[in-house]
Amino acid sequence: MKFGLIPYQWGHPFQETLEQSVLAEELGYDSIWTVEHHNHPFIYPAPLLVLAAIAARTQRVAIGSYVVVLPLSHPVRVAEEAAQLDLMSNGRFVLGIGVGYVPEENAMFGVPWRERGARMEEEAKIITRLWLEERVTYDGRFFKLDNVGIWPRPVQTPRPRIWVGAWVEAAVRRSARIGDAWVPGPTAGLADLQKCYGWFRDEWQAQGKDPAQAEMVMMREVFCAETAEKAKELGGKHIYRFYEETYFKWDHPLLKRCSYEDLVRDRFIIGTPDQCMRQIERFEKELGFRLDHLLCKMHDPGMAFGDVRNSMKLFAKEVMPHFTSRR
Amino acid sequence: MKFGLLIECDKDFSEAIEEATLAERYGYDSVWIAEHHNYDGYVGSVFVALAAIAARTERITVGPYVLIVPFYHPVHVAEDAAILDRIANGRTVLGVGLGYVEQEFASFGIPYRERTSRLEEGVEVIRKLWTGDDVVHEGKHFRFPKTSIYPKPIQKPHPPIWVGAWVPKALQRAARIGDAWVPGPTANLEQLRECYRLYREARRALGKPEREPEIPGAREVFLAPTKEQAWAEGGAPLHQFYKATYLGWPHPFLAGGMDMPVSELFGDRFIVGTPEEAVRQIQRFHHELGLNHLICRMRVPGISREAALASMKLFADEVIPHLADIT
Repeated sequence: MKFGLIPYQWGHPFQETLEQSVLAEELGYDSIWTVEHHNHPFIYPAPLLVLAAIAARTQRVAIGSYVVVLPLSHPVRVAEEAAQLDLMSNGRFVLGIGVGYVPEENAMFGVPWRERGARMEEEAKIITRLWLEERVTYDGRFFKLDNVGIWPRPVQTPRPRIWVGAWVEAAVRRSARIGDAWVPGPTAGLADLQKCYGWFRDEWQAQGKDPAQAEMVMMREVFCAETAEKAKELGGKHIYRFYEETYFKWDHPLLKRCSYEDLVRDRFIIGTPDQCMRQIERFEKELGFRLDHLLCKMHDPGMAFGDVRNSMKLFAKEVMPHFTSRR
Repeated sequence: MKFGLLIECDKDFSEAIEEATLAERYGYDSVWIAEHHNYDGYVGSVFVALAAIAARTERITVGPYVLIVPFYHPVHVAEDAAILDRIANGRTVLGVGLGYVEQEFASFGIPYRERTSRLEEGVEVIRKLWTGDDVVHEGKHFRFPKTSIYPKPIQKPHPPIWVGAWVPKALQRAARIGDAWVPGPTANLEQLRECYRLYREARRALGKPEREPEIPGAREVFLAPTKEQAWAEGGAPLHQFYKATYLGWPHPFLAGGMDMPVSELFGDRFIVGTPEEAVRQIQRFHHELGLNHLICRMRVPGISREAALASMKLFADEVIPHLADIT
């Protein structure tokens, strides 16, 4: 199993985002992920710019967006930025995309809310073609391209991977058509995960794709400390407050207001190294397959930098080896 | 006086980062990247490229010269430039321009005839979002309900906006929407004098101070220890480049100039020669126009990277020390 980190990206100083990313690479994490939200008092809006800075300071880790809210951008812009990132990182880039679920964000950019699914599908097709073909002509519902090419080209062959975040059935199935993996965010509980992975695998096979080629990926809230009490006090409490400030306020498809204990039970990976390990094993057992890549969201707003570093280190030293060494 | 360097971005982006870090070490004050789409050797995603450079430098100003604003939604530009200002810890300038390649407009689905009104409205939106919260905008091209961007730029009130322009209407627009007018390298001293007259007259009519603290301008610059070497390695390829580009284009100052004598093309326009000659010429631009931030383009296609790097070093060693104290 590989492990990714969603570093601090909730305000200033920006330096901390870079330092956590560099530390993650040193500790053996495999990937770094950046987020996108608009019109929000502490979430960064430009995931690909943040990745550019991270790419410039790292050598080995994969860098990816989780997720670019694709319907808010023109596909040529995203294809170019992604290719530039793939070039600058020597082929370490993964494009994570999603339709978004905050109507106000669509209003900012004048993108009709009801069009978001269809736009994403069309844009993903265009981006894939711009990466693969020198010149693209496309006549779609939202975009028309007449002999358009991009430069620089991505360095990965045949192209960077596309990972898709989605929740409702139609969208999860769409992920299997337009993407290389479906990536659930941290908000889905076990029951929803089981259901969604089922849709994804079903559609993946219906598309005639090889099940062995599907990467099984998941993002979770993760916080690790020497004792369960410290993990809750230094980490869990802040994660819960973040949920109150974000998901509980938004009309999130899978998450309504609930208690801290509810979140810990079926969603979070939080506690001592041993508890974290057992929770990951439980997820795999209940889901019925081995995960290929676990993305750890470890720094929610309000946490102290030192506590997060400690969590990153503990998790890397005492939890990750258990899963990376297995065959 | 300040000195900047326009960085070329070849397929190997590590060379661009190397040039930027060298420029910082040599004592230059700023580095710039131009926006061109689908053009070998150039970058479409200037913010992504600049974010990487910002993450690898500490002192030097970084900015697009110029960002083609009409291609983008101004909320994206405001957000991207603010994030860049965070990554660079307050070291950015936003250079903006109209663009002039019709094919590029078609790629982004933007009508070419809308470019001036999109630039003007775009800059208005960017300023509002940088300096205020809950911005409501009802314009010709963009409308959105209460919107704030986060994070805001580090620089207060905001990063300077420099506007590229040539014709009288565009100079008046630059006076209206910009914090400085930034002329490109193609106009000679006489033409610049006339442009400055129009620009400053427009500033005065708007009740703005005629002169800003920074008076920037770009020039073609190439230095070598002897006049002959400067011509062979820099002047001759520069002449060829102008023949292949501006002299054949409908350029406001160079159209129909294919047979322009070398002395007329180079005189009072390009800074090509020995360090002593360059010092005299730059002093003249300073005295006649007030120019106090010279952006040097040292490498056009045809000039080798080695020759450009040597010129960059020579300029830093033997020109900058003589002029740095001029204000």
